[in-house]
Parts: sequence; structure tokens; C-alpha cells
Amino acid sequence: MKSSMDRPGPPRLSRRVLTGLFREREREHLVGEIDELYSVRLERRGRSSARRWYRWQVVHFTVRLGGAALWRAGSGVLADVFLPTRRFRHALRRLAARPGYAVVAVLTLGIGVGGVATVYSGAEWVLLRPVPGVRDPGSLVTLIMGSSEDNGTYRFSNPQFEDLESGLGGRVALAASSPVEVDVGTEGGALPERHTGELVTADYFAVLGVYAQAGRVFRPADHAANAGPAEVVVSDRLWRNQLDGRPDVVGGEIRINSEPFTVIGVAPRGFRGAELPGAADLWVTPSAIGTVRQGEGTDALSQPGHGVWRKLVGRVSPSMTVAVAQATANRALDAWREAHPGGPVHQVYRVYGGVGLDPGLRSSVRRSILLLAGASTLLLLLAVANVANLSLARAASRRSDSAIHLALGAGRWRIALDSLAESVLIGGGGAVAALLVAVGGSRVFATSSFADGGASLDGMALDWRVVVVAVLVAAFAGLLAGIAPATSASREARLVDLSGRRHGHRGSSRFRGSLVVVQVGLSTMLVVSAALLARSVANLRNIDMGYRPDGVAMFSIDPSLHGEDAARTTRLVAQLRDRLGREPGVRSVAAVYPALLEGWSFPASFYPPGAEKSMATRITAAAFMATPGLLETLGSDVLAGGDFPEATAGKATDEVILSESVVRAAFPGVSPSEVVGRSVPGRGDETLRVIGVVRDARMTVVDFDPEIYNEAAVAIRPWAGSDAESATVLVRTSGPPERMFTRLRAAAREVAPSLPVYDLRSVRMQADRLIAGRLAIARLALTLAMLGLLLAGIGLYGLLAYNVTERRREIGVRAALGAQPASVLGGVVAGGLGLTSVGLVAGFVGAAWSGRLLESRLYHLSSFDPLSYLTCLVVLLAVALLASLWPAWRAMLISPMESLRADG
Amino acid sequence: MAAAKNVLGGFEHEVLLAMLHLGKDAYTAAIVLELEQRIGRDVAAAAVYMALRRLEENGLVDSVLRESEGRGGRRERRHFEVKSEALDLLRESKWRLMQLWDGLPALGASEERR
Repeated sequence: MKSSMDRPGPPRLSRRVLTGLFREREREHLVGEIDELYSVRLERRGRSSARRWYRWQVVHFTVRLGGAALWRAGSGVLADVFLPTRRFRHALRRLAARPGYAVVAVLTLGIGVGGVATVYSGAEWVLLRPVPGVRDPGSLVTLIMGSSEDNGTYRFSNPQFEDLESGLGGRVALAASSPVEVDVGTEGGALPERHTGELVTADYFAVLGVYAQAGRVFRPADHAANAGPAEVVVSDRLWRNQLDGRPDVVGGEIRINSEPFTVIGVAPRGFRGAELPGAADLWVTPSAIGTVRQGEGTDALSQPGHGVWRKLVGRVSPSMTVAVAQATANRALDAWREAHPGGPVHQVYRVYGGVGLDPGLRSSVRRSILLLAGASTLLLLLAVANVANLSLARAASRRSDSAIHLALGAGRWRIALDSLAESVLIGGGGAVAALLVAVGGSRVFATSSFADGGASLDGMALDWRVVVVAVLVAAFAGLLAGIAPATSASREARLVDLSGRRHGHRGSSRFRGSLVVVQVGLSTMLVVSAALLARSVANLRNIDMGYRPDGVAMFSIDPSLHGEDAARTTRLVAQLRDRLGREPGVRSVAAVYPALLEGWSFPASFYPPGAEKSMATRITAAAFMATPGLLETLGSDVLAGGDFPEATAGKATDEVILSESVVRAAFPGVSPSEVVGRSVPGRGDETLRVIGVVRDARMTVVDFDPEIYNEAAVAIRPWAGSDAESATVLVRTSGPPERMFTRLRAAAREVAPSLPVYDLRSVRMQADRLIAGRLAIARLALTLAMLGLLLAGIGLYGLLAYNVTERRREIGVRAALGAQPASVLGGVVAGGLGLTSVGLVAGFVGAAWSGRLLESRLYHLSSFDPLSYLTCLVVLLAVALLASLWPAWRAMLISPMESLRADG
Repeated sequence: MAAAKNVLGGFEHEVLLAMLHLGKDAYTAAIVLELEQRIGRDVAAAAVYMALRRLEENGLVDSVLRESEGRGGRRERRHFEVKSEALDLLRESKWRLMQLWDGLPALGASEERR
């Protein structure tokens, strides 16, 4: 028989685990028992079986002992915390006795967690919400035709679209759409209203899986009917607002651009087209192209070079991925090119997964989400740190109570439970507060102040999943923040005498100090980021437009949609100028086409006089048509010459007003005043006479990359009507333009009672719409930063107030020894500012790191912008000063006698 | 303070009986082996350990730490002893079971024949 020495022992790791499971005094003999059983197994069944058995025994012991411990602790807590309401009544009474702590902790949790829930819901609303009414968005793709050269997009002609559809071999069901702007009126109803609609192929709804809530949508079979009946599907919004939610809407008639259409159905609630944010209120098939697109007949649909469709949506079969669809589409494009030589060569098909958010925006949107998620997390951390800090201070201030309880025979467990009951109450209160803040915050977000800038938070709703998570987080954070103080309360109570004085370490005070440093650091990061974003948006808003955008109102009319001819439109524009010009408070009026700051314009071409007309010599500019008075109304910087003369208003002349960069390119080295009166060759054999030179004007977009294309180079021709589809009337007012809106609308109605006035807003609002996304992000970031500041302030205040209470005696002694009140005050404030400075330094380091993530979103601003950092420094120091002043004041008022007597 | 529970769990019942078989040598490992030998299947040591702890908490067994000789050589072991309260409970439950079995056909036999 082998001796026990050379027998293989039990698995070493398992044995160590087993050893750790038992209490010390039981350990040796119990492990011995298992070893004994192991050796029996070893003899009877062999080594591997025995070792397996041993491991199983360890698992058994772990589960059973752990389970028993959990059960005992759990049932103990449940019984102790939840069963006796007495404990809660006591906790409530304790909290109510000094309500400051409870109020601040609940508010902190509410603001922190509720704020984060609101911001997340807002971000989700802007960025992530699914398109309402669309079935199974996972199998949808968006297909656009881009350019291999730049960010531009092409429209698909109908033949090219059909070619692509057949090229995809039936594995992708494709539908096409294109936005249209139309006026919608009702029989005998009020003035027509302007709406965005979509021209769609008949299978559009089928591909998206959108069903009508009343009536029907287009059927794929309607597709062939190029000259089919005039039918329209309206949105829920149009139905409810303009059509008064009439139940008999289906089968009824509406007028689109004065043409009668039969309403065949109402789209599901919330569906505004496949894009987000969607704007479509009605859908028509290509048979209506002549009505919704002036000057286009259905014959345009058969021309391979005539762009009709802007965006395609497709439902892919399950076997197909986006990559495969892309490859297939590429092959289809190659085949199309071979069949149609001479077409644009830069065209590329781009396939994206899903519908909704514009594919071109997705990467920037993803960055925005990351940014907000980061900021929200910081805020959440801040809130939790704050509550933990408050609870620690609270626990410490209850030391003498605890000591008395201990002395009277209460167990440490009881004392910890008392603290825990409080934090359950705080956590619950925090959850309720967070809910209230989230509901209120989302209301604020959804109302006009945010929607003004077109930030598309309009109509935002709380995401209830976010709210549920947030409320759970609040409750959990409250509880968690209470656990540490609860255990420390029971531990520390032993070190304390009945007067509440503690004997021993000051470690927990240092810990609370470092929590405040962390808080200041986190909010520094938030504030710097928000300041950077705000400064960037301010840069965008204060950008030199080349004219003065403030104090100008604008609105548009579209006479051509109602069958008015060009001459009548020109007359109407003249009448409007005359009528509005007589309105009190109006300084000047002009009309322009296309609309100002709409994001697009027509290109105009010029060539240096005497030079050969070629691509190399071509000078491009954004072309606008305007009545006299534009330069005055816009407040343009006129460098030489002047505006069109009133005498020739409405007549097509050869006059042109050019901006300086066009002039510089066409007449190198010639001063603007010498250019006035000279001729400049234009497109074809056209020659134009320069009558004015202005500074470059951002009339199309607010910001652009001058390296790619100078969008501010403009050429303004006199309004002659024939080319204008619509007219945008600009009105410079002597007061704020917003106050004039009602009167402007009424005056316009006097002149043209049957024409809807649309897009009535100030030029500033129009400009803000172009940077709405960045404005929204900056506002959300600012909101988060404000909340962060508030929380850091509260945290600092809490710590200092606690420290003052703690050091009452010491301060009293110092006062007794002749310390000046000012030095006491200064000491407390300096302590607060000291902590803040440490936090600031740490926060700046963090901000420098996180600023790199912001870099791409900043306009003409470095992520190390000193002013943003300085602002943060000043703001945080101010908050710190504010937070320390009250505790310092209280410290100063401590009278030596009182504090000494109180301590006995 | 722990008043004896007046009902025994199934496994506790078995552990107590095994202890009675072992007499003075009733310690955990021995009980495990005794149970395995008599019932003919593996018994988890942890289950026995927990049952013994429960029984001791309920005042049905006593234990004492002492050195003894066994399979694993001479070492300190916790030896358990069945208390009179446990004997009463065992007797009572046996009596109850017998009352219930009285008059029933031999199930095991008829099952086997089927």
C-alpha cells in the first residue's frame, strides 16, 4: 500500500477555494473531512473521478453556504427594512428634522438623472427614432446617386431608376421619391396652405410597409398609369389640421396647386415620409408631375437624362446584405453607362442600410450621440458622487446618535439599517424627482424656445425606456450612495464618544474632499466642452455674412403654382413692394429669387473680358434675381456703384451686380469703382453690364468650405419674372422683425388674397435653420453643463458646511484666542477654492483630452480655445466662491463661548 | 433558545439515522460514507454539513471537537451526538409512518410485477 505522501492530493485551486469558505475555527477540521472523503474516492474510483468529485463538492459548498448567507442577509434586510414601517417613520422623522440634506440629495438625483434622461430622449428624438409607421426597418435600404468627386447628389431619371430596379434582379424591391412644394386648398375652404409633399412611385408605401389608417395607399399596380386619375394620400397631420379631421375625408376632394385631387387615404399617424425629420404631408404619383412640378410633363419621365427621383428606398430579401446590394447596384450602373454613353461620369450609386436619417448626416450624428452620451455620463457620475458625499457627511453628523444607540445596546447592524432606510427614502424620492424633471425638461425642450432654431426637438416625447432606466438608476444610486455611509456609520460609531466627537482618523473627510475634487473636475470638462460648442455656434452666428441679417423679415409666395404667368408675378411683386413699403416701421422692401439662405441657388458663369470661354477661365457665382432695393434691404456692403434703378424695375436689362470675388477674378487688378460700367461676358453670347460691386455675401448658406467652392460669390440680375418660380420678399424693419409678422401677413393678403404666404420668419431665424443641428447640440451641452455646475456647487457647499460643523470647536477656540473673523471666513473660503483649484487642474487635463473629440464639430475654433478655458475657470471659481460663502459666514459667527460650552 | 422543530426534513431524518448507526464515530465524513453505503448513491458533503448545522441550531444534535483516529489518520474532528429530543422526533415520525402504512398493500412488490 502506498503511503499517504505519494498519493495525489485534491485539486489545489479547489482546495484553496474550499478553505476560504469556512470560518477560521472550523476551517481545519472541515477541510480535513472533505480530504478524508477524497481519499476514499481516490481508492475506490481512481484519480480523475476523485478530483472531479472534489471540485463538485467545492461547488456544492459554495452554492449552499453562499446561498444560505445571502438568504439570511436578504431576509434580514427585507424583514428589517421593509416590514416595520416604524423604521421608515423614524427615518422620515430624522430627515425632516434637518430637511436640508434630504432636499438637496433628492434634488441632486432628480436633476442629474432626470436631466440625463431628458437629454437622452432629446438626442434619441433627433437622431435615432425609427420612422413612424414603417414595418421592419431592418430590411430597408436607402439608395442615392452621389458623385465620386464631392458631396453632391444627382437625381435618378425614371429610365435609370427602372434600369437599376431590374438590375437588382428582384432581390430588392425599389421605390423612388422626390420632395415637392405645393399649395393645398379645399373646396370653398380658406386660403390654400403651403405643404411639402412627395412625388413617389406607386409601390412606395408597399416597399416601406406603410398602411393607410383610413382608405388606402397607392397600389403597385397604379405604377403604370402615367396619366392615371389625380389621387393623393394625405398625412395624418394635414388631415387633422387643414381638413379638420373630417371622417369623410376619404373620397373627398382637395386642390393641389388649384388642381382637384381625390383623397384616397390617410397615412398612419406620425408618418411624414421615409426621411427624418420628415416633412411630407401628401403623396402623389408621377401622373401628377405636371401639377406638382410646374413646367414638367409626364413625357419628362421617359427621358433618360431628366432627373426626377432624389432618393430610392428598397426592401431587400433576407439573403441580401447592404454590401451585396451595393455591388449589384455598381454592376447595374456600369451596364447603364455602356448603354447610355455621354452621361455624367462622376455618378456613383450609394447604398445605405435603413431609412430615416439622411445617410450623409449619419457619421456626424454618430459623433453627436457619442458626445452627448459622454457628457450625460459625466453628469450622472457627478450626481452620484454628490449624493455619496452628502450621505457621508450626514452619517458623520449622526455619529453621536449612533454612539448613544450603541451605548444603549443597539447592534451595529441596526445602526447601518437606520442609514439604509434613509437612503431607501432618498433613492425613492430621487426617482420621483428624476421623473418629474424628465417630464418637465422634455416639455421645455419640445416648446418653441428650442424649436425656434429649427432644432427639430419640436414634438419630442420622452422615451419611456430611457425614463425607466433613469429612474432605476436614481433609486439605485440613492441606495448605493447610502451603503458606504451605512457601513461607515456602524464602524465609526465605536470610535465616537457620546458628545459626538470622534477619536481617530480623518480619512473619511479626505475621501469626501477628493469626491468634491472629482466633481469639480467632471464639471470642468462639461463646462469647457459646452463653452467650446457655444463659442463655435456663436462664431457661426456672428459670421460676417457680407450683409446685415438682423432686422430683416422674409416670406415667400408662389404665384406660379396657381397658374399665374410671369408677367403677373412681376406685377404682384411690384404691388407687394409698394404696399409693404407704406407699412409703418418698414424701411425698405425687395424681392429675391431663389429664397435667401435656402441652401441652394442657381449657378451663374462669367468669363474675363477678352478671354476664351472655357472651363479653365470660367468664374462661377450663385445667381439671384432681385428687385431694386435689395442692397438697402439686406444692408449689403456696397463697394462701388449701386442698386438697380427703380425706373427699370420689372424689366429684363443687361445689368448685373457682382460680388467682389467675381470682380477680382474677371478684372484682375482693377478697382471696384473702375469695374462699374464695364461689360463682362456671361454664359453663351450674353454680355452683362456691371452696375454695382458688393462684398461677397452668404446668401445661400451660412458656412462652407472656401477650398471647395466659394458660396459667397454672388451675381444678382434684375427681376424680370420669366425665370422665377416663387418670390421671397425681404422687409427691413426699424424694430424687431418678429413684431411685424402679423401686419406683414395682413398686408400681403390685401395685395394677393388668394395666395398663401409661407415661410414668414426673420432672416436670422432662416440662417439659424441652416445650423440647427449644431445649435441643438450646443444647447443640450449647455444645459448639461449648467446642471453639472449646479451639482458641483451643491457638492462643495455640502462639504464645507459639514466641515464647519465638524470644526465648530476648533474655530471657537481660535476665535477665543483672538483670531480675526475675517481670517476665519478667509480660511473656509480658501479651503473651498483650494479644492476647486485642484479639481480645475484635473478637469482641464480631462477637457484637453476630450476636446479632441470635439475638434471636428468646432467652427473656426481650436479645441484649446483659451477663452473657453478662461470662461470655465471664472465660472467655476465664481460657483466655488458662492458655495463657500455661506458656510464661511456661519463659521465667522461661531462665538467662542457657545462652541466651548456646547462641547462641554 | 432554539426550540426543537417538531417535524424532520427527509434528509435530516436520514442523517440522524446514519448517526445512530455510527454511534460515537459520527463525524461529517463518516456520515457521508455511511449514507452512501446504505442508500447506494452519492451524497454531497455540503448537504450533510448543512443538515448537521441545521440540526444543531434546532437543538437536535450536540457536537464536540476532539481528536480521533479514522481513515485520514489521527486529527481533530467534530463529532456529533444525537440528542434525546431528536430520538423522540425519530420515534414519532416512525410511528406516524407505520400508522399510515398499516393496511396498505406492498406497493413495491406490485410495481415490480407490472
